[in-house]
Amino acid sequence: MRTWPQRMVEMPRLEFHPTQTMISAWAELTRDWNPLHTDPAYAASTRFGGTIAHGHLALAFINEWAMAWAGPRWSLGGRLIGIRFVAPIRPGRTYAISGLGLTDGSTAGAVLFAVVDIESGRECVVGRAELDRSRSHRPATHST
Amino acid sequence: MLTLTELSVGMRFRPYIVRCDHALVQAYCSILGLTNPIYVDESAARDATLPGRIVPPGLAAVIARNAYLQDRAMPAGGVLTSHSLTIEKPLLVGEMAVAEAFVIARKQSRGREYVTLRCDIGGGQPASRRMSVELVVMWPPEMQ
Repeated sequence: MRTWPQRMVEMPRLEFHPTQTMISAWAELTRDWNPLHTDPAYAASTRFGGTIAHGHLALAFINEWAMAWAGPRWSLGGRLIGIRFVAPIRPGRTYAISGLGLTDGSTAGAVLFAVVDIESGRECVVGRAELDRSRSHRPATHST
Repeated sequence: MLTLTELSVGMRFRPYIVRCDHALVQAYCSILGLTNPIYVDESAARDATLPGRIVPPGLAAVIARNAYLQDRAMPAGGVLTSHSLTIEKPLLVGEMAVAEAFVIARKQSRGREYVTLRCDIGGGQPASRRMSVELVVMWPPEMQ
């Protein structure tokens, strides 16, 4: 179980419920047809014992959670750092993404987060999110 | 199939180019059940002081993967073990994303091979960097 640092404040929580239909549609969209994600019979014969979600599908939800935390500023200076995939995301289960951020103003733009299997309490993905406040929320211009 | 023997440190892949159009973003949102209007509604994006509808940042991980695989398959057993993302500016819906991937490290640990790749994603004309992705993949050896 993770030991969270002191003086932290709770951040938004995002739940998601991947299904095999979602994972198979994701495989089509991303052109990642690895049978570990799409073929239950094949996946059952592997060490995972069944299909698992793509890593980038989990990352998609993590970015949405970061958007809920930081708002549109996330798209102007967000960073995901050292994300580690420690357990598979499986179809048919429900996951929650939540994090804790330091209350100290100097580091208020940093959050430790985890994707947790709600039923088992197991952490599946962990990492750190940061918001570069110096770059964030500029007026609506977009020079290239 | 992209095999381990092809991956040497310093190797650069040819640019991967994809148009991030409304259909792609709509499909992404539909599969994941996302409802954030800044991806699909121009006025909502501008109300959020963004320069226009933005491409969901989570799509960067998918673009990065396609930038090194280049329509080749990942060998069975390949696993994404860690990931980092830096966002500098958003991609706008309708823009062409230009992604360039390269191999920055390889290492062995406990008999397994790990490949670290970096992908810079630009947009616009000429392309300017918007995001960077760095990921570590446990790459399976070639089948005998």
